[in-house]
Amino acid sequence: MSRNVKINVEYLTRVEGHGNIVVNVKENKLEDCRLDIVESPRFFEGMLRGRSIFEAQHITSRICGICSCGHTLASIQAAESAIGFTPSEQTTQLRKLLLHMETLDSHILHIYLLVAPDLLGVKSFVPLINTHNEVVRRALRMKKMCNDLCDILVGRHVHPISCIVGGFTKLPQEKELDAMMDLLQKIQADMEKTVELAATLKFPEFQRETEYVGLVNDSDEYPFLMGDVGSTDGHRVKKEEYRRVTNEFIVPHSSAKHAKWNRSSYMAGALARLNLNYKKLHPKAKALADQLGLKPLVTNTFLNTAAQLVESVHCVEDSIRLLNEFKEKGVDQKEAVSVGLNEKGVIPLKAGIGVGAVEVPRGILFHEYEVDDKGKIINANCIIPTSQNVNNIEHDMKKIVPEILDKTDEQITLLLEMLVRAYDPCISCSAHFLNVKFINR
Amino acid sequence: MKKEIEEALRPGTGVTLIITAGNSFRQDDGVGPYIASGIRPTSTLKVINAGYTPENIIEEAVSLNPQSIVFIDAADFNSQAGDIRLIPEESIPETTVSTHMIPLNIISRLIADSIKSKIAFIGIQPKSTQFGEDMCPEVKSAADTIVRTIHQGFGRPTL
Repeated sequence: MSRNVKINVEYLTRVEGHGNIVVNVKENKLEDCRLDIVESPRFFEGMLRGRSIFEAQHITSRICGICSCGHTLASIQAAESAIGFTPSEQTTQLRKLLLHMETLDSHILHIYLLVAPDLLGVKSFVPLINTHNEVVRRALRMKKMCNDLCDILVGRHVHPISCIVGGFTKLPQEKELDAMMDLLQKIQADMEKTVELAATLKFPEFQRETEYVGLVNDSDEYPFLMGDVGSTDGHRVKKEEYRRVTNEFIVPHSSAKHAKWNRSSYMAGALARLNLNYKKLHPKAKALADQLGLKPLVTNTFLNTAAQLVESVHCVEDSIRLLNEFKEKGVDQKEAVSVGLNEKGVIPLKAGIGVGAVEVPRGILFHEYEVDDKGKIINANCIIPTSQNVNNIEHDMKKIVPEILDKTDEQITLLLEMLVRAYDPCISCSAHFLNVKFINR
Repeated sequence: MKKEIEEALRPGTGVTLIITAGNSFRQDDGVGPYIASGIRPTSTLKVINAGYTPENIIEEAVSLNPQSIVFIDAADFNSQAGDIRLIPEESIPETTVSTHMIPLNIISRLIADSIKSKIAFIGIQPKSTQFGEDMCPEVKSAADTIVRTIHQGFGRPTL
């Protein structure tokens, strides 16, 4: 029997920002299938022009309240690359710890509050307050502990203060290392219950192989902070060549640019990272991946949430490892730097172009700055993970719709919503393109 | 001040917990934190300033096992600046939930369902919630009235 379906979800809920799902099927033929991104651009690159690289991380951190540490670190990495500054080993390890806290925080909220309601058959997490009160409280308790860890490490729950170009203005003392360890051990206990719960969740079946893109390296470390850009199709480029990866282009229905590399689209995020770096996961995280059936190549997009769970375990365990190393070796307090806007020339400067490539919860994040010899930003470019994923989301939608035409409109709508949510999109952050109509020109 | 608001602020048989919310960098939205800084706690009067992350105070609130909880926040109900109202929970909009924002009434439900406390919401009409640290005189005066009423109820002289 031929089928007509017309879906217009305006706006999609349980994602950050405003996006619409539009589907039109006429007599079984898919005529239209798109994710409209209707947010306004925010001009952060424009704001950076003329500003010092020593304040850039405080500006770009505001792009996102969830990925503020990721933006801070990508910004610092771009700035340090541009001026040829190499951070110390201690600084790098502390930055990795900071990134773990943010990834864990974001993943936990997405798994518990945005995805679990779909899998438990309720419209939002609000009804879960009555039926699964302890579960919701656990999620928020874990979120708070991640926030508290950030507070100890960088002086704030979000938008780090002490993490700057050149290092950290304040380094954790022994009692602060102990406080962080105490919090992490509590998170570890809550994580065990999270894993038990997740094992009971059933994700929808769907397969579409795409190109999975993320950081890769030659070490044993699951890369979040440093590496080249690689894909499951076997391609690998230096982070400085990121434009060869993103190849951004504009489509009429989206204020977020689309991206593609070697195929018509690619996916970034937890599933991409797992597909690329599965062997480098912490043993506990790898065991969980095996238990959940996540062995590369995983091509069910819905399992991005399961990959986030695996990464959450990895982040907890790797953070404990990092903290144990700091407790053993001690933190060299002499490395604390006071830079300000570098008025006293603490950090040597030179003109240059630098790229930061950092894995944030939703995928790989790029910052690129062109800097003059005074450390002033001449040009900036920031490419956010969600904008890299939007094209792949649409390709997933086009694949799944013909496969589920036997379902009711409501069921199709729900599955499409769940598919988009699986990416954990941060739509406000992705909006980048402004369609300006010039009149009389 | 209306009688219903005075009643909501009156001591009960157990611990009364005042939870304030708001952002001190957004002019009159800072009324909640301002009130929190003015309250002098006792063994039966506790205060938590949730600031702009109310989801982070749930465990602390539950651990205090309050008999009643009063949330105080700036609320736009199209009235004169500084007007104080008791807000019915059902009239607080459940704005879109995302990883970036969790509404206050959801937080209150989480606490209330955990410990069966009596919950009240008090809203203060702001004049402006634009960037800035100064509150308008009307809102500041309303905040002082609330602090005074609480202290009178709990037998605490206001400093």
